[in-house]
Amino acid sequence: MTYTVLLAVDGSMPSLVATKKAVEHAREKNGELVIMYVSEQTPLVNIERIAEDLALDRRCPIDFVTFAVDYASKSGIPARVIYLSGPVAGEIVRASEEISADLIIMGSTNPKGLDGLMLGDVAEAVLKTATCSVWMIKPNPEELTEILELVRVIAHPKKVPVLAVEPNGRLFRMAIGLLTIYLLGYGAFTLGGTYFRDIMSARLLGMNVAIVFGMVIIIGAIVIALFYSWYAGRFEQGTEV
Amino acid sequence: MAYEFQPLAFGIFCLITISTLAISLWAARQVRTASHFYAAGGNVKWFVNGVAFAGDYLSAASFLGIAGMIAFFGFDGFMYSIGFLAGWIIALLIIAEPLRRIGKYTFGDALMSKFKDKRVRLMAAISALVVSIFYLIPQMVGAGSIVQPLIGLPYEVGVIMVGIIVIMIVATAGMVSTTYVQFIKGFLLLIAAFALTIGVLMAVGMGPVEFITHFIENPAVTLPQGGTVSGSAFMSPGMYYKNPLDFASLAIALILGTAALPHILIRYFTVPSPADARKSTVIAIITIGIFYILTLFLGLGANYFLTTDPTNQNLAAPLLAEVLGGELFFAFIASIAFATILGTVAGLIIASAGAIAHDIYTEVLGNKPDEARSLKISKMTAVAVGVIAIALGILAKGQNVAFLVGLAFAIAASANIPALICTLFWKRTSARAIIWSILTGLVVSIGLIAISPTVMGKAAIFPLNNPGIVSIPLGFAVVIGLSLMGKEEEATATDV
Repeated sequence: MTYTVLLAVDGSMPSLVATKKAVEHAREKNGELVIMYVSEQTPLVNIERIAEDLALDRRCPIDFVTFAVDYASKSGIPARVIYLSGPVAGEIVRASEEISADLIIMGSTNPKGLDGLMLGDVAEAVLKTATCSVWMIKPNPEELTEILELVRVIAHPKKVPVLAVEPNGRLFRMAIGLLTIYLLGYGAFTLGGTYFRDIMSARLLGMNVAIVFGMVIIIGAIVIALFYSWYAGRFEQGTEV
Repeated sequence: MAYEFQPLAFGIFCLITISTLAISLWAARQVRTASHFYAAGGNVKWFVNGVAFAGDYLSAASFLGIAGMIAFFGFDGFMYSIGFLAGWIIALLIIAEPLRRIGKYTFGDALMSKFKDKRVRLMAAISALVVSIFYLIPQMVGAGSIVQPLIGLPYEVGVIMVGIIVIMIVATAGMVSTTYVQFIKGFLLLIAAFALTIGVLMAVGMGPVEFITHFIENPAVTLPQGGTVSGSAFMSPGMYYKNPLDFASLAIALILGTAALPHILIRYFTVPSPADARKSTVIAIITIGIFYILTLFLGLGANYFLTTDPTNQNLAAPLLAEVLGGELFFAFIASIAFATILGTVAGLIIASAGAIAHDIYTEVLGNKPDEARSLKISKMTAVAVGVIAIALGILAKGQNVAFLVGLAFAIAASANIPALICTLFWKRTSARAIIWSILTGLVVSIGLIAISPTVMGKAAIFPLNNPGIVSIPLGFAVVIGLSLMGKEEEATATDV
């Protein structure tokens, strides 16, 4: 059986050093390398992302997965990539079991203080639950300089995923249609509250027109949202597969 | 009304506030270090984000302000509920997906995808900052109001307290994961609204429709501010907005304001795809819609039991809780209101800090994108914005928070909506037109508020409380007019 090394990367400095070590180790053992990146589930706004990058020492804004792939191929190591999303530590351990990895290699950033409290240490969590050996990389200054050098040689700027720019025509027409319906309702309601206040105070269904109309506008919004969601979802299934 | 320190209430209040923060921390860590999620796998992202949208959006205005407004002015207060939700339909149908397609981090980014003029970005950042500050004022007023009955401290102390807590959280802790705070807050608010509604209906022993009918048929509804009015008038438009055009102006500002709020807009850039942006919005609409239906019962309940402080409309909901369930329930509701304010304030401060650090510092001033510096700048911005908000919050003492938020909506809609909609859907829009429309929207809406009855009282030059009906169309007129006038210039500007 081939000796399999699972390299979990996250773009931090220790993780870049781990990349180098993993490639070298796989070459020594004549094994194969599985590179894995787990994207986090937390929606982060701009500032939060910056704070996290700093806390985790992601000081090289490079495409670290491609960096790992290129370095492996330069060293003649067979490598493949797994992208997953979910609880980072859990996914790493699960993947290591699925591919029956002999060793997990990853960098340990171990953020301190409040950052540590908020982010936790993924490497530590992996170590606790892993069913194979884990090699945690805590780089020394020389190793850091070395890796910065290597990054300069095999540099890939971070890629921003390109999203489809053109909206879907049919979906957009549906959106405009629904919006028109809703705006007509809201407009009628506003006109009523502005110029036809006696109509708004007329009794209706045990309540009055104003309250019933208002409730209809609120519930109507929920119904339109659900309908639009259903329509768009049906459409996506048709095109994505 | 004189308030005394209530130790039990204060204890529960501390407990709830601290556990909200602790749970958010725990959730943020779980994402990285858990071995598996207890909730359903891959769809978490947009669901969490959707409820977080609701949490971010449902501020002190929605909870404290609307309930108070309904208790004092009946239907005109409910109008806020209707309009606040209506804005989300615009966000869902025409803003969410296109915005996610073109933007990266901020509102400025989205505009810059079409124009290469740095002044566009500068205006977008200024607008985000101004709107955030105006939106912060009511949150501060809400905080000051809550602290009075809870701890027995003066209003000003409450405002300063919230300001300092939030500045501390944002400036020291690296701002990680407000999403989870908003998520928990969104759920807590729904629970609070349901609990109060059920409490009211059980205490009066009527069904929901019966309760409304009771009000409409009541020949003399007692008003907290003194006097009585017929139930039919109380439950119809016109109690607060005596000038009919003011009602229309508010309606326009509310429906267009939501999609123009900087702290809501930046949430759209946190999800990976336009489809996620859409799904999050749908979840938000359902959560927010249910909440707003319930506000009617909170407000009417507060009026029914007359659990109001005539000098402070914002306390209607917490004081209602005290009558229904005693000190414990009061503390529970007050704590949720406080957590709500903390969450919204944090969201707003982060939005303005992001605008300064990303748009102005890095992009407009052309500094190298240095993350450590950016973070430092954004923390400094957070402190500065927080201090400004504290000062303005103290000045705005005694105002209804929903009313104040209505003004913030008008400013946001006037400045951002014409620019945003034209950028997204009209190819002829020019950079110059965008710059001037944002500037016009900001200046005119704020100027009109300054000469409105809210600020000048009886001597007001502008008759309406809400400027939306004038300033929003004006913003559109400027962007369309200038774009049509400067055709040639525009062709070279966008053809890059």
